[in-house]
Amino acid sequence: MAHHLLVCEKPSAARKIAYLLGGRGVSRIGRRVPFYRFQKDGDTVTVVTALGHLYSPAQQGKGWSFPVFNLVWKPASRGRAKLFLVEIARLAREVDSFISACDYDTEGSLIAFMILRNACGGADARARRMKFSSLTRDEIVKAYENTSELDMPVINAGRVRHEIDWIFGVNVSRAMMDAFSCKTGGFEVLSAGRVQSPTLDALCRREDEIDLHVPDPYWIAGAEIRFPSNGERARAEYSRNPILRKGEGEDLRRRCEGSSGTVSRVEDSELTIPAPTPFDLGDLQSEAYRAFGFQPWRTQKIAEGLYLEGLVSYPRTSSQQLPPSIGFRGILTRLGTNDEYEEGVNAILEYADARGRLWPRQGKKADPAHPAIHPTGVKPKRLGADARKVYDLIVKRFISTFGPPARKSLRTIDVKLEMGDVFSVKAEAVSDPGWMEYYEPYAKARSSRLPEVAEGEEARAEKVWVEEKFTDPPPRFNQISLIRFMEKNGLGTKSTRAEIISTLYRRGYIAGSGIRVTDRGRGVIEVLRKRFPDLVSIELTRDLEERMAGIEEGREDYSAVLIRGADAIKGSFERTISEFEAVGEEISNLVNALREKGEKLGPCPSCKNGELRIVRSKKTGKRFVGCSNYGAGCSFSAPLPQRGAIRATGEACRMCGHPTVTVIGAGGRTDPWRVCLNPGCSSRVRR
Amino acid sequence: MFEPRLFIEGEEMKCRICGRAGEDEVCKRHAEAEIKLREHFKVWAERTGIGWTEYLRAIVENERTGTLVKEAAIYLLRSRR
Repeated sequence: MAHHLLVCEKPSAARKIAYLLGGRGVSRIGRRVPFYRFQKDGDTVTVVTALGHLYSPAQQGKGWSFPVFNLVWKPASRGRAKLFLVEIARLAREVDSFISACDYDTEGSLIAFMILRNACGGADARARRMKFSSLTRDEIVKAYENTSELDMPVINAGRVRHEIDWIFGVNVSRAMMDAFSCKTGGFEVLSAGRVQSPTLDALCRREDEIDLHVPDPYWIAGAEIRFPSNGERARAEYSRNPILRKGEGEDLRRRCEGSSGTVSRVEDSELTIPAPTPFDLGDLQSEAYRAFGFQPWRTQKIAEGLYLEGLVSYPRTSSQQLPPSIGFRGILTRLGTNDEYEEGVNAILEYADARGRLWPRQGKKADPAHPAIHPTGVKPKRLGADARKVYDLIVKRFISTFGPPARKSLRTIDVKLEMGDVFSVKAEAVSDPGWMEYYEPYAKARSSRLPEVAEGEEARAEKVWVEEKFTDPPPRFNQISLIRFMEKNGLGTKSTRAEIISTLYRRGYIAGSGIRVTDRGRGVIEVLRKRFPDLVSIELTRDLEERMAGIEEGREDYSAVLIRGADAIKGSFERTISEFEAVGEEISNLVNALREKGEKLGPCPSCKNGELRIVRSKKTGKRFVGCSNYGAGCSFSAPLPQRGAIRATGEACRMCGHPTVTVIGAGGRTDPWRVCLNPGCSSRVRR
Repeated sequence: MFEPRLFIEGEEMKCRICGRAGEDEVCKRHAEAEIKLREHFKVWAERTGIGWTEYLRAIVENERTGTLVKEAAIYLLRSRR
């Protein structure tokens, strides 16, 4: 009789896996640090859990200096994480074999590896790996019965990512903070990161393009055309839009308004819109943003919750493909037991039977570890409002991928007026909604009627208009378009992109839903561009990402990639050290300017001539609002939220006239909210 | 409201628009904005027949104009260049 130790990534996953494998025979042991034990096939199984990463890279030895390249993986030394680690180490001494049951991806593999190697006495050499994509009984039992060796290439890719990120982040942040401290004797947190900084640089470049945009004028002409044969009216566009001279538009209006002509061309065509591809994480985030306005990190969190409930497959996937091994018919049949999806599922199964094949539309992107995000077919019991929305989106997307293509009829009608000017009516109507029917309300089969006219028929331009337009600046990034940009440029991974964007918000480097770079963000980037150009280079980051992917695929060597990463930034450190004073000067100028601007919140409502500022209590370290005339007797003070960046709005509160501030990125929120500095004001409600 | 800064002889060279350090009357970014303004004037003149001052006014009033360009246009209007 053997005793196996299963290492899971988080408590909810451990609980789920234990009950899926052990059923009613599972005993939950321990209160603060729970683990699960049951008998299976004559063996004892103990399921323990981590709390995400229990080991992280840290400096070897003590001291604060840079550059520092000597790193070790240190265990969590505080709080609950330490308790979990102690318990895992204790239980490891009682067992014969070890199984990694963490999420099957880079992070999950690394979490288990570090625990097995360090807390379980080097058990990584003999441990096995459970590979699964959803927390369903069938899949977990199958994964338990068919374990494989630890996926060392994936683990090494994860290790090198953390180690290079540590080398970049710690060294650059320390270099900036040290230079500032040497110059001023003060301290200021200025952070940089291997993925974070090139992303911020790209945002700054977009901001520059917007700031330097000069709008050019152009004109668009249109007409309301009436067909006397049937009395129908339609809006038409001038065939030679855009008009590039001011007078031309006016001339056109004068000669065409009220004039008659004939239908010179009627052209019909059909547009086929194939079923959508299954969701990878980026597609799901983008669709949830479009449909519900959810920010990417929120969608990812909800999808991970649904995965832990066993309702959907593993969401951190870059695959847009569904393999038949997931059991298309089985999942659809189980979904069909839910009244909401019954009709759609039945229609899809009928369509598949008539076609003789049940097959989804597959996307181009593949992921060797996981299929595209799909429902497991397990019926949800209780779901919160947001989780229900994301679940419904995933289910309807899954069903619609099996649907027939949608078809649209398009009709272009050219009307030639007396003076030879041509206006075109473009109309479309859905002739067959196909898959759109199963994806409602996320796809709407908008239907309009096509005007019935024939060539040679009479037509009349009832009204003609000319609209002045201006070229637009490039659009600001939002979180979705930024994730897409990062994806395209190889910045970060599917799992880290949303988190990196949240970090930029939390640091106060960016703000708003149409992302704007703050003065702090721009200041930091200007220092980095000058002093650490490699760190903001998309090329270097992309190259490292490709090499890390190469480790995962067995093409690249762990040590070689690590050395390449360290070498890449070594030159910048050497330059910084030789110009330390100048770097300190630049950073102190930046910090002083930011402090001066950021700390002034508005006029004091009490003494009237003082300036309200952010002050930190020497005793508690907490921040609050105080008046610059404190020394002269003004005792005005007001509390402030302790998290997030504070920015003065420059506007007085409508209710009480006190100054107001904007709080950015507090508590994981990314939408800034405004607060009045008067603690007693009735407007102190989050916006 | 934006006010162009006065240039004092002998003082360290600072951008007359934003006060940032620079090697000329205006900083690198505002200089770039001015170049863009002059380039696009050709387009505006060809399409609308507008004059330089009128063009600068139209640019300042346009909500699509970038911040740096707007600041440069105001500066040019005030300094009558």
